[in-house]
Amino acid sequence: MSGLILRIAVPSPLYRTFDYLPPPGCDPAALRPGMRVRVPFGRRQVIGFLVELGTDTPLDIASLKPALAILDTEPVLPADVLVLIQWAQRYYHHPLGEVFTAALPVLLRQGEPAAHPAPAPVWRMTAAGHTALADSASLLRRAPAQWRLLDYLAHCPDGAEPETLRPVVSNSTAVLRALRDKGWAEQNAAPQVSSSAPHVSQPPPVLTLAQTEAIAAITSALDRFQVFLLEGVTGSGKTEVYLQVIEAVLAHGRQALVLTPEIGLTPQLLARFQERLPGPLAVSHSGLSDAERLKAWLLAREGRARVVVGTRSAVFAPLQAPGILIIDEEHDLSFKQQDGFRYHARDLAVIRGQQLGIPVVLGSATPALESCHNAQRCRYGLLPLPERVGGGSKPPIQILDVRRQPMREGLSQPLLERIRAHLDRNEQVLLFLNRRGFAPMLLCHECGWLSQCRHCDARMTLHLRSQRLICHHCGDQRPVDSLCPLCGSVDLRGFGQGTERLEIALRQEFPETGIARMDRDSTRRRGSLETLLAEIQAGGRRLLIGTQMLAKGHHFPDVTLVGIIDADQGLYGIDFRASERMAQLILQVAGRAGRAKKPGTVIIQTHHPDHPLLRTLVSRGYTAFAAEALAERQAALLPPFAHQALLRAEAVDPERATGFLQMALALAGPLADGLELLGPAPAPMERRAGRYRAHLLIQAIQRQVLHRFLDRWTTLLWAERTDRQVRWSLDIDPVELY
Amino acid sequence: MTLVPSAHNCLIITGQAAVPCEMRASPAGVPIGRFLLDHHSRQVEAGFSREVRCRIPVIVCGEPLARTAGQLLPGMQVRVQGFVRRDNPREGEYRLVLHATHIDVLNTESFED
Repeated sequence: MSGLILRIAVPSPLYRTFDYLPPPGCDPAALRPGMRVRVPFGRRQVIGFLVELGTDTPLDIASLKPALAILDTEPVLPADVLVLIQWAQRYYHHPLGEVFTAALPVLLRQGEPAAHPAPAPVWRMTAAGHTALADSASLLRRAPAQWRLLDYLAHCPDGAEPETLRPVVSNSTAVLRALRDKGWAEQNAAPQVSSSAPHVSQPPPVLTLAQTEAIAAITSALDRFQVFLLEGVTGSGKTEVYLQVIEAVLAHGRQALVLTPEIGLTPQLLARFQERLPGPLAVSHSGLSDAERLKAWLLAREGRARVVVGTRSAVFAPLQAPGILIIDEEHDLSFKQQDGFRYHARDLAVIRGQQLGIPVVLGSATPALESCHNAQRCRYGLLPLPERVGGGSKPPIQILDVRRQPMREGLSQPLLERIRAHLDRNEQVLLFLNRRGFAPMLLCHECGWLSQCRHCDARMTLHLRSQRLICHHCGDQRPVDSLCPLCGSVDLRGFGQGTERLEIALRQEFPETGIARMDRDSTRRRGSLETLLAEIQAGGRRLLIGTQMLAKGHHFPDVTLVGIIDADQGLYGIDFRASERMAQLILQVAGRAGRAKKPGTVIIQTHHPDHPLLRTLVSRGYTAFAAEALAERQAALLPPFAHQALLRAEAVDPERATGFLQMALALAGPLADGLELLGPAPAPMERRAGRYRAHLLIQAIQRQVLHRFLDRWTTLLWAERTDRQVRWSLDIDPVELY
Repeated sequence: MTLVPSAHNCLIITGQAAVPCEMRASPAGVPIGRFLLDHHSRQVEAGFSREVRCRIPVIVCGEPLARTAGQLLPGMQVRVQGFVRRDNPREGEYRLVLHATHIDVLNTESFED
């Protein structure tokens, strides 16, 4: 008899599907690819995805196991996302099960139903409770805890969730029971989630000519696939273009998907979207709980949220009626997943737009060279916004030569004087240093010992406030040494500058000035970022210190001086993309100055004032820099003039990692027509988290040649019985070498 | 080179603090002080009495020594016991510093001249 076979993709690093029988009692007619299925897998049970229904199997049909349960009544992802996933799986040569997993919210990966959970019951005050509260005096005396809770509930007309009552009194559960027994409070179902603040449509601001043209170009192409590169200098009103384009998309009854970098998804941006656009906004980023992310995902799928805003993984967001895809800060590295399924959300968005036949807008002040190249070749429509909104001029950038200058904790005298002048005018100053912690290493002043990480080819960073040495590469940490482990001297010193050190130095220099430091350490607690931003928005004299977290997307109207403390660390990176990154970062930071009415200035401290990158950026701007950099890439046949894939391998034993790559190289040999194989070579940071890393770079001028090779090569690689001590991965279009 | 833990390295010297002790703390919070000691005495050499002057930096680490050193003012007489160490490991630099293990303040009057 011909039995029905389920081909299931299982979230595992195995490059194949697995055959199962349908679960007993299941209606085969109801099965659709894209449904989640619980299956036995080895000794575990896992959530797999139904990829295909078949009737044959290479295995003995009697040995197949039945699936345990079908979890969905319809495919969990809409058809267009399934198509995108299959495309991504082929392009990135990654196991399908893991690609599926990456596309779903955590709760759905764990098998939770794809439906809104019942809202938790809430506590409400009864009429008797109101009477009791009115007789406040005696209750306050007899039962102060009950009084406090009752008084709190009196201020919650919609009721309060039990969780929110916990901080009100020490033993809220017992007190609530007492209130219920007296008939003063009751627990009942929560009201339906009312959509957030009513939408008041605001008059849109007056547009510049360039904005008007950009909006017209995009809205005239809403019914077809077209990629637009919106190249707008910082402060030129890209967000306003997004908003008006989205309004046009919504007017056609379609939805908009906006991707932003993790750092760029600021409360300010969300508030602006909420103010201007109707209906609930579905927001997805890593700061949300799993339940919140599922809720946003469902709102998007049901089409109740007309606008979906999210970070990288939102490129897979299910949309009921997709109308446009917008990628803000498209050059940002965070769009590329750096482990597991290494996809690039910007590139996938372009593919998704093509599959759906809808426009894709890539926005940036400093587009990736890949995107500039596509615009040059007219594959993308270029929409320049060359002027700041309100006619504000671009802040002049000055290079400050600090050679032979006496430096105080990384600050030169001329910079300190400029800071003082701006503060004295009651303005804000932003200082950028892309290194958190107190100092990037601990040094013994007597013998030269350095705080080397035990597991990595890197130094451990000194964090003075938390009194710890932390490796920023593997996360290993330990208390700060009191003695040099080599010579026994106590004279250990922090070497180099981090944001924590800069903050301490500036507190001494400007004791009367408020200082806001923004980096991963100072914003770890939930809500602390919002508090910091609110302080800054309050305006007035203030010093802002931060890493790249401060550099992107924020609008600080009172900042008139931006200081880049150390431009040198980025000028001589080994990666061929180092100069592109540095140029983008400098301009992004510089863009924080003078965004409102007051003119701004940018000062770059450097020991290399004649570096061609700085010269071009300062005198001729990003477009000129990009043209030069692209010419260099073309001469060197580097991306975007070539296409790369990187085979990485790591193992505790360096020989094994290289051995695996040698084997891979031997397999590649006969297939490698028309491409270059470089390596095996050690990774720039060879040892990390106790493992030695090496890689093999594959490069071809033609993308098709590369992918035809990869199709055949990966099949051989997956079939090979490889050394189990070696972990390896394939990265298509790598953006970083290590 | 093997380390000889018991090898002798002990200097006892009296003199005046030439400058107030500069205090700081290591990242782990160990206090570290440094001051200059001016020594002036007569010593016997080859059977003849002679005058001796020197100035040596004194390093003071940890409590309670650092607290004592922190109170020193220029001109105050102290007796410092400790070990000497080459200040700078660079080739050709042989300046020594004295790391204190005991400090006795001999008088608390500072000089003004």
